[in-house]
Amino acid sequence: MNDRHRIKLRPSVIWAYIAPGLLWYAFMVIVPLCIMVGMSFFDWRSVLDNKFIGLENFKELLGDRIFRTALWNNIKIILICLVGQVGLGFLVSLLVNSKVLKFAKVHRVAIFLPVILSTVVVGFMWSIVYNNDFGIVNAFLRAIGQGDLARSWLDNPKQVVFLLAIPLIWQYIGYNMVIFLSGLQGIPTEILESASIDGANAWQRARYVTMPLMKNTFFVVIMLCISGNMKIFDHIYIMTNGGPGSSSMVLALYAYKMSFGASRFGYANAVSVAILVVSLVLIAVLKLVLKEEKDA
Amino acid sequence: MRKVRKIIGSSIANIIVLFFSLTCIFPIVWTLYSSFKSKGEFLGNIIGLPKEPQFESYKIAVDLMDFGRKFFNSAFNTVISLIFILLFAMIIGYFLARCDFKGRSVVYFLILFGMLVPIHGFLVPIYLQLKQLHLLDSRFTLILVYVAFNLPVSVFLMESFMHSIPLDVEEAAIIDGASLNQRLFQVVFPMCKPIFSTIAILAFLNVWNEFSFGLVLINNEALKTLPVSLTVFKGQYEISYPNIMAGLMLSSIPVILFYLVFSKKVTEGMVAGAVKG
Repeated sequence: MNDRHRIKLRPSVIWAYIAPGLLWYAFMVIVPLCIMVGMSFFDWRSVLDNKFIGLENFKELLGDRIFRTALWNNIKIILICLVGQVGLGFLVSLLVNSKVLKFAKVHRVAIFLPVILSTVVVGFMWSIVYNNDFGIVNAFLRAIGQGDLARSWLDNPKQVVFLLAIPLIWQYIGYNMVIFLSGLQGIPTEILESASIDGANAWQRARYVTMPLMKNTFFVVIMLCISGNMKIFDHIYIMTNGGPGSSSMVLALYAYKMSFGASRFGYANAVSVAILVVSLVLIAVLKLVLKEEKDA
Repeated sequence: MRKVRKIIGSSIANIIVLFFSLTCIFPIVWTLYSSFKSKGEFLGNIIGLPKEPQFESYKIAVDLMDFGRKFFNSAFNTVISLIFILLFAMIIGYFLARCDFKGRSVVYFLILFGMLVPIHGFLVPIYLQLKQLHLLDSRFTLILVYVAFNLPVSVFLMESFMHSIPLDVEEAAIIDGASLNQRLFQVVFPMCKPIFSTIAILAFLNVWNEFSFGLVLINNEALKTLPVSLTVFKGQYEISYPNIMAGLMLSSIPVILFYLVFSKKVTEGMVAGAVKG
């Protein structure tokens, strides 16, 4: 028996203690999961108006253009955030961690500040930032004499997803930075020093010494990036509500609209199942990729 | 020569990070000082500081959002959720760490599962479930959801913290004839204060800021939370930007103050939540 499980108690006592919390949890996590999977096989409008249709919802999903746009937008946002949140976040953490930086503590506090804001607040803030008449982007452009470039930023379907990803990067880069910083503190300075003596420059040290030692940290951060952006809803609901048209639709918003706009609850649950499956697949792929790299 | 290069290099690094930090706080600071402008002043001068600071926008935002009531609702949800989260997390975490029992791995897996799946995708099924059970639109609706969603991280933080507490203390208490309740609440849990504050900080930020469930599960205006109350400004941009900005600041100031006071603890807590999870 494992050394750390050493307090002996009757099972009935243990279960009596953990049951309330566990039941509460099961009621709000496990039951909804079952409802979600179950209802995705129904054409469900209401309790009185529903019928079992097998895999029809999923067949419809495959041919649904808005669903595909939404899925693709989620993936695009994940990719943009991998560069912005993870890549840039790593570089910033290296800079903040370096000995030459003055006021490192103040910088940490400032860069992390947006993380604690409500997603709604960030959504509103950035819709004002991007606004055509009163936005700060256009005000800056006019101030530096580039008024021609000013525009109603979020109205262009071609750029909208990219522009929506910027607030996400802005809000969460500080989160990634502090996670990277705590990983960096786990690297013994002697290793970096000896690499330095061997003639490795800053880039080589980061790439060949720091990064391989921080594989677990990268795993955590990439996983957060994937799971966070698969469920993305609040920012986009506030900023564009999926528009213009459905060019900035994402999966969670589509599920929301299908249920509360169109009352197609069965179909909305099929979309939710898709969110779940895609996230789990992406995380499984990530695990495989990192494992392979370890073995190689 | 090497020294000159070093100085240039470090100045560049400092300038880059400074620029970066400013980018991170500027939108917030801009929102803050613009909220003190009148509508007219804001239209005429978007970037500059207010020349005649005024609080009119705050009065309007407080009225529009019904701030007092919404603040109370958010605070109520947060406090009650925190109590349950801490209680359940410490009990489940304790037994997972200290006891071997039949079904332990099932419990462990169930909770781990909650960390892997994007629970926020459960919006639609949870709405339908609570609707069927007539549990929508009540004072405790959101608490039901928030407690469950914050449990997985909290339980695992507690579980891993328990391993750092030596068994001897408990064994001594057992020899002294202390009951299980006495051991838990008088011996073990008082030693867990550091991890309670981590759990509480994470849960506070999550619950206080939560939006989508607050939006969907509560229709009764009197029970809506602070983030949801901001939606009164949605699509009303022509009204007055400083009003919206005042509203944004009103709902953020509690968390910003909290963060500025406990910044170290907050960042540590969030790192622990991510890494342990």
